[in-house]
Amino acid sequence: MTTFLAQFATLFQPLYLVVIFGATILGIVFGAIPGLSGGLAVSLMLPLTFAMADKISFTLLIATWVGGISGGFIAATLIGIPGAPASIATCYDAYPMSKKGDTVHALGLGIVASFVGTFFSCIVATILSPVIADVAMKMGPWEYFALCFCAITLVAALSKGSLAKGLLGAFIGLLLCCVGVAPIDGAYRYTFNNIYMTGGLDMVALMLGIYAIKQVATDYAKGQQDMPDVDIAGVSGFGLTKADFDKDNIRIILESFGIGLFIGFLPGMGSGLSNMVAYARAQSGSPVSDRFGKGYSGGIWASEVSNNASVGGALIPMVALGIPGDAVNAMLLSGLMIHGLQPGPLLLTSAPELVYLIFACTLLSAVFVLIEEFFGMRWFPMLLKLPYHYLYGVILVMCFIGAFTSKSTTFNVACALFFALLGIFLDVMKIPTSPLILAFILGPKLEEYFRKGVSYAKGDYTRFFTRPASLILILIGVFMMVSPFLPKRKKKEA
Amino acid sequence: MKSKDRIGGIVLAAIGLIAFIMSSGIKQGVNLSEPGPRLFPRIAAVGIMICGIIIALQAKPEEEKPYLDKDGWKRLLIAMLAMLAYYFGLTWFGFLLATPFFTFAIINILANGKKLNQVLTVVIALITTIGLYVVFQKLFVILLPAGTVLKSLGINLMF
Repeated sequence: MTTFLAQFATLFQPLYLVVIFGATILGIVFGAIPGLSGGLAVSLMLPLTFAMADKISFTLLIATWVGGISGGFIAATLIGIPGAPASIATCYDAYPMSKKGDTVHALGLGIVASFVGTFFSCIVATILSPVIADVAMKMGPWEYFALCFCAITLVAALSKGSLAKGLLGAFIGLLLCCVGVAPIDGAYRYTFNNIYMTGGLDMVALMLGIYAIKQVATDYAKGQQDMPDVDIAGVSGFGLTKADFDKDNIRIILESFGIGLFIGFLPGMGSGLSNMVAYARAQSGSPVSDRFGKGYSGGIWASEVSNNASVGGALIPMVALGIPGDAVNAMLLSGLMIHGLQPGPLLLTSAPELVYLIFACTLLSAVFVLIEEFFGMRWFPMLLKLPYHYLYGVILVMCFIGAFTSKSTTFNVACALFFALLGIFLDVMKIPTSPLILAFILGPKLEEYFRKGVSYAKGDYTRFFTRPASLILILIGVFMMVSPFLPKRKKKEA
Repeated sequence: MKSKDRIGGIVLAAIGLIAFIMSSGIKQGVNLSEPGPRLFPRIAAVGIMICGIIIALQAKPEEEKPYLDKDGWKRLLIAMLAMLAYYFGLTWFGFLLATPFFTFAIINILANGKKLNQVLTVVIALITTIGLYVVFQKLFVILLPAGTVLKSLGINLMF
């Protein structure tokens, strides 16, 4: 607790406050603009952190991430287009409310709901993470392998599209991470006698290529639509009323919080799914379910509280187990690795200050986002009118420079371009990229733990199935892979 | 017209097969008490092969909505070529020479025929170049590409 509170002293230093202020605004802007995302902002910031100290690096990355998750509701409210998948359900009620002339009310609800979700989920994460890390300390390579296997299969199975495509994404990621020197024995694999490939393919080049460069290129190719004009003149206050906190809405807030936290905790799901589940649950459990979809405050609470609660939920496995919940968490995790830190349960003992700084920074960023969005509400429509060609032009240059600075070689820039082409190919084939990224990040660990597990058991492969935790995790992973092929029970007719 | 899934699935299965064959070239120790460095590349290769074949077999025969129209593919090609040119520009002529030209060009390309204020575009291109140079090279002391051609001529612009 003392370590946690001490981090606020660090974060209240002027430099950190300026970084949080700037990064949250950047995140909000990227989150708000349809086509861009908080994840893209994080990927652009990653190269900037190379020369920074670890604490300021993580302050920058976390603040950008928190701003990005929250900013998604702005376009959903003003023009009915979600800034990110996390805000799809927000469109259902925020946009109709806005169209009725209640824009300030809709924005106010979005701002407060985002804050509630992020802030309180982070408190839960701060309390739970050390407990889970303690349990994880008792795990051997067999359980770690099973955990990585379970995380990858969960992401592959739950990705949009068919299971084969989800798994294919994971296998491509696994093959890409095999390039370079093998763990344990240092054997060269797929290096083609190229000195630049012996160190393996670069995470930063992968992220920038598959996310940012691909996004810019395909958005341009598809043709950008001009955003409609939105007028929210005469803004004052949040526009919230007592009715926004009635019994039904309080139930929705609590349930959506729980749903968001839990879904955020599970690898592969996160805010993209939680907002839809929470919205469906809120509507089905509400006595005024017919008001949903017509500008009802409960719909906005459900979507925005749940997608932001996923922030805290995702922090738990990232910090306690070293398992990223989604692609953006994978980027944050790679940020840890770039700074020479080994993510996992030992991180809480080896770098407790940094871990608690991550939690404290998330909390503080949530407060900053609340204040910035409250005072910046009148400028939200301007975000949607930012000229894409200027924005994307600058983003592209930053991607190239980011890829170069990651390894100080233009070979890495070529890799980023290759990954962009790969991203376009996967997009055409509708193969999800999240399993690829997760497998790329977790692949070396998966292999290392598997080989260590077999080695420690003197060649006995059954050890993975005789240890209860390992067996359960493997069974979950296998179940996720075979579940689409299981016969579905027909619903009983009423 | 064959579905893109069928072609893509076959291409991926072929890549998987090549990766599998190449995995035989990975040096493996003798009398190992663990599976060695060939196992995971082989798992990945076989996985890609199997999934590729499944996707090819599951491909629907009917024509799907195209990913991009003809003009879209043209735009994509232009954007990728511009980026490739920037890659060579960075490699040969370095950051300070290549970046303003690329930024100016890519903004005009991305504008997609919209009339732009070219003075503003030049200003943005210069600000982007100088801004990134100051942040990376001066503030964080992270070296940016100096350019092999310039280096061989003994010219160093990255002061």
